[in-house]
Amino acid sequence: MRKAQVKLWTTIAILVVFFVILMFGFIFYTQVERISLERSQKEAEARRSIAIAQVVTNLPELQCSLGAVEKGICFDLYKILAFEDVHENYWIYYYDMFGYANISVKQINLNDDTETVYSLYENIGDKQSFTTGFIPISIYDPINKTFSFGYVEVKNYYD
Amino acid sequence: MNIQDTKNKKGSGKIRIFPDRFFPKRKKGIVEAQLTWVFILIIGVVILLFFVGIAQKQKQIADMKTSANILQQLDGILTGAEVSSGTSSLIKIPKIELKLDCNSFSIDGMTKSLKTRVVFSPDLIKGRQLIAYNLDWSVPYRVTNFLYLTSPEVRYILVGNLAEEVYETLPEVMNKEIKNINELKNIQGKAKLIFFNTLPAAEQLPTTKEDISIVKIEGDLNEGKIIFFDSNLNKEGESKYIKKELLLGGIFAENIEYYACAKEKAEKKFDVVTAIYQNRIDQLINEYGDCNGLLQRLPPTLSLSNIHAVETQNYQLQIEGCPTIY
Repeated sequence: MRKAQVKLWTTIAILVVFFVILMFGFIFYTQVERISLERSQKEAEARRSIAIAQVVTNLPELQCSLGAVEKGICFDLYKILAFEDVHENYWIYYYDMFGYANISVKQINLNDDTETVYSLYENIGDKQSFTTGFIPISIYDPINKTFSFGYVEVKNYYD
Repeated sequence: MNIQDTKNKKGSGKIRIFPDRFFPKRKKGIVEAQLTWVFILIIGVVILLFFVGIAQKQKQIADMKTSANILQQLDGILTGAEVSSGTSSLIKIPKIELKLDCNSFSIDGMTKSLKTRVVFSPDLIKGRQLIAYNLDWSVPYRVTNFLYLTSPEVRYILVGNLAEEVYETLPEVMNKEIKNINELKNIQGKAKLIFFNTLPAAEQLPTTKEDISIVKIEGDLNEGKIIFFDSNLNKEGESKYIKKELLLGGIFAENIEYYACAKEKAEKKFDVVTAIYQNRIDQLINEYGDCNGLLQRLPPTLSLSNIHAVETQNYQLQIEGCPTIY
């Protein structure tokens, strides 16, 4: 009887050890997968900030145009000012487009080496992390008919 | 049954029979051996089921991951297609079933939102190739880009007075053809029939009607209405269009609901862009003046006559050297 009991307990012990090792292997695998997923998510969010920047630079409500011809990556200064004024009235529309992001246009003043910042869209929510995309643009003043340098900065926020 | 000699007799002198060689007649041990085997069997099955369960779960996760990846890639392609205008591309995709509606697209139950994109397409695209075509909708200032999606497996048959002009506008990679109204009877397979200012009689339609959808365009390239029919020529609905780009939307859209939804998105965008242009004009008038009355408020409603009025206004501003509307 004792021998049988010992045999039974040995079998059980082997199984317990086997499952413990399996569990450790499973935990290790899930950790590796989690890290890999986090990395993929970060890459996807970085791509998203570039995609948003691309969409912004192609918005007809910001692009400068002469007649029906739209000029390269160029923003009309008065469209930027109008966008700043008006976009709050269409907040849901732009939220659908941009999600959680902070989008601004920075005009570089070469004379005094300063930047004029125009905030186009800001909706951070309670997100902590962000990725940033930049696209250089030219900014056209339709009254003075002059161009200046600038860039679009897009901060895409995520959890 | 063997009658044993004295060699096989245990001390008690009792006769042992043949099967006793394999199952020694010990009262306590026989049960233990059987139970051990049963125990082993149960544990073996449990372990096997455990691993089979893990394998199935992994397969599910892998499939979901693949679908999510494809959706992500497609989203990038659609973004790229959206921002470039007047281009058509033939995109190689894995053999998937891509389901689309006005607001989202999905593969194997995984869905991604189209957000504010205006997309016209069939509701199901199968196969290994996707045709993406986009045009900008300018009324007269550019409001948005329309994205048209289809596959080479869908056949577009154009009939009527505008068939040739529309044929030239559609991308080369599409499966398109022009036919006369008398040539429709022998059409086989899935096809979309587009009639310009004409409509066949029921008996002129193809005999196999299951995969046929019908659209009639009444008007010209700039203005008119689109009427959607089922395969038995029962009217499903109609909607107006302005400019050729919306007309093409009616050709690509699966049905009246899809077309109406996408058109609504386009009109919403028109409102947003017009509001920004209006604010811009107000600021220009404050800073610069109204340029002898040429810089005026924009008409709020979308119509062909208003489009022409704004075009004329913009042209005159250009000639005068004033800041233009667009």
